[in-house]
Amino acid sequence: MTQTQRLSKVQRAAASLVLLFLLAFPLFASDYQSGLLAKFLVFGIFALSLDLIWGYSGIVNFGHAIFFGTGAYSMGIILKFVALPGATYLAVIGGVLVPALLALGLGYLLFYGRVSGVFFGVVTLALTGAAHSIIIVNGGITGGLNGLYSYQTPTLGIPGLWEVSWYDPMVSYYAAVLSSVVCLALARWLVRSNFGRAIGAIRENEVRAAFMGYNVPFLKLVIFTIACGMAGLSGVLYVPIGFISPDLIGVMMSASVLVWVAVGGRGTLIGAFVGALVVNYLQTMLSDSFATLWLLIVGLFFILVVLFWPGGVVGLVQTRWARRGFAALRLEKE
Amino acid sequence: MGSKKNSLSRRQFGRIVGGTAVAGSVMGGPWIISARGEEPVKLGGLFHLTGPGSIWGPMMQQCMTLAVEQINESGGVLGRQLEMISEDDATSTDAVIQKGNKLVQRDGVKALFGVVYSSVRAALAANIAERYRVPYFYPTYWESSTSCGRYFVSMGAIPNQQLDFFIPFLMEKFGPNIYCVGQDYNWPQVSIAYIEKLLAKHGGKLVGKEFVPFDQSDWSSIIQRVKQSKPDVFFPFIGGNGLVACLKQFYDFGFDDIAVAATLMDEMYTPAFEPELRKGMHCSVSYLMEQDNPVNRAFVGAFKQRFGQDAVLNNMGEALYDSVYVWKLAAEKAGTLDIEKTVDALGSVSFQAPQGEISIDGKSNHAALHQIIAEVRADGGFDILKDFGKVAADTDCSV
Repeated sequence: MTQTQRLSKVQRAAASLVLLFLLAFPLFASDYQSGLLAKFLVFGIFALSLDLIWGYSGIVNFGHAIFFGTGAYSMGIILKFVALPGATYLAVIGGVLVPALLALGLGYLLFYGRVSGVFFGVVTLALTGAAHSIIIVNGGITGGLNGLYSYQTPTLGIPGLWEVSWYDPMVSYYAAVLSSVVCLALARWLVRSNFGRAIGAIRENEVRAAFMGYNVPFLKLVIFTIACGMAGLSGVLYVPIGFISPDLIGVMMSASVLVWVAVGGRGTLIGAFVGALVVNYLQTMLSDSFATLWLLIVGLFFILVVLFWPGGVVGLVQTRWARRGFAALRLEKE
Repeated sequence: MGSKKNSLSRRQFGRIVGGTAVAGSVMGGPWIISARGEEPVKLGGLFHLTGPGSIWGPMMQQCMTLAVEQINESGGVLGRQLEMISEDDATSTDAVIQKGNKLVQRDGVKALFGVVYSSVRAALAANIAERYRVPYFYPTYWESSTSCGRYFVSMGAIPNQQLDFFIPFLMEKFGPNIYCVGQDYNWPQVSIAYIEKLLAKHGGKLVGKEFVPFDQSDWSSIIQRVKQSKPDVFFPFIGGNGLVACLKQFYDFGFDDIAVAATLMDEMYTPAFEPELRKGMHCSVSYLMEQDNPVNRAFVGAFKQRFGQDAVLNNMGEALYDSVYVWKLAAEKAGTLDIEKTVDALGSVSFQAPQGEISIDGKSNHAALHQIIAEVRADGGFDILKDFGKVAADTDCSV
């Protein structure tokens, strides 16, 4: 009764409050703090895109960073080699399309080849290594192990008339906020649509869904492509606030995003943002105060979450709310 | 029920508001700094305290700590005390950007120091030092092409400084045929190309070169090829644990006449080898702990007194120590802590470092460093065979 239907009044009030907080944040926070929050939001979008496939369609992707990294690299490479006014927009489009097309090709082979479950995870894990090597071997284009830099400054606005540097902390911050809201809305709309319900059916029982006449590989391919395009967008948004290097495509990054989604709560959408925010904030805070111990503390935190709150932070809150809802129902009956 | 439902909502609402407020204050808390009158001058250190580079991070942090403490004891810089703010970059490009942002935007550091890994250095140089116009001192050998710029100060040896004298020396001592193996990135690529050039100039021959992935762990097929082509010298450009694994497997194939030489054999690497393996390896570095001069004796003595008799440092640590002093001298030369004027003054600075006198070329912001050739002893120490004195950096970089 709480989360499956439309947003309750409370949830709507909370959402407005959070949005207001996000919009006003740079007014009272420093550039550094806004920059941090912008990065966490970008990671949130990245986690959201994983939640779409992991939480809603049951596809385990151990190589999700491939699409994040491909988005960032596509953006950087287009900015480096295309010297046109408005190249930034081209780079953004490329940063979403290239990973989406990559996912389309890869997904076609895997889903139509009936690779699913753990095997899908193993294949994506192996592909992470391959992607990493491709980046390093093609140093002329990608900058190799040193990373990609000295591309033109990405600018937003109207090319030739009114342009603002995307490196400006305000610009990158509001770009991250806006994109987060749009992506979250898109994801919500998707999972609530008939298509989303079909995807959910596949997650629950693939064989039964197929018997009911759903084209399982096709539906999986669609959601996978959309999610990977979204991961690409988060990579694009990361470029002005981070650095394009093989790290982005690596196993660490793929593992981190799994942790964010698990901590936040799988299959809840908003949990992706909660997880990315909580884990990254914790990391930042702890590594500032305990230079070497923080990895251990973050690791322990993750284990505790998995052991005691399998639904993640959002799952925990929801079960509390749900329980209270049942209690209220029982009272009514009496 | 209606009223009950409403009160429930209000409670939840209150909880959410409260939660947001708490979250806000927690997020804001650590960042509130009280403004005081004469605050110390802040310098930022970024070290590989965790992650794959963590064999170097703590040692480099110690060297910077020592320099800052010594400078503070002797009256600080322009009458002000220094404060070192050190951060763990986790050997990652993402963390180094975040920490660099913090050091520059929140702490307002006057200069940045540290890092070993190329990609992490490139990230810091391009996206923090250049973007925010803060000088960054890089204390490690590198290829000198990817991170040039006004705010990037190269304090580590570049290929010509490591190889100009070393290659002719090796040819004379062992013979003209050299085999190079390197990891597949800029530093080994540029260095091996430079060796090829030097060999051609001096009448030697590069009998083989190979590039391997960064995380190569099985070296047997490569070593077989090396042994088959019977070079006089085997010259690896392999960073991190890869070097240890490679050389151990190299000796597993038996001892023969092939000499081992490397520009990165130093105090941090020799303990990883058994005495009979490390004995006779040759290296070319800009600094060794065993250098016998008064400045170095005082430096090593102070280092061991501060961090324990077993504490070890290498050329990266010494370069980091020098970097802090070079920054200090530049600020004093400029007569101000203004960053632009300090950077301008770098070119007129010369420092009596533990390795000997060093100076900065203002055209490239590259340090002229000593070139020392040494042979590793069975006990893991070094016999210094030659010190060629200060060698200028030959680079295309310009400020």
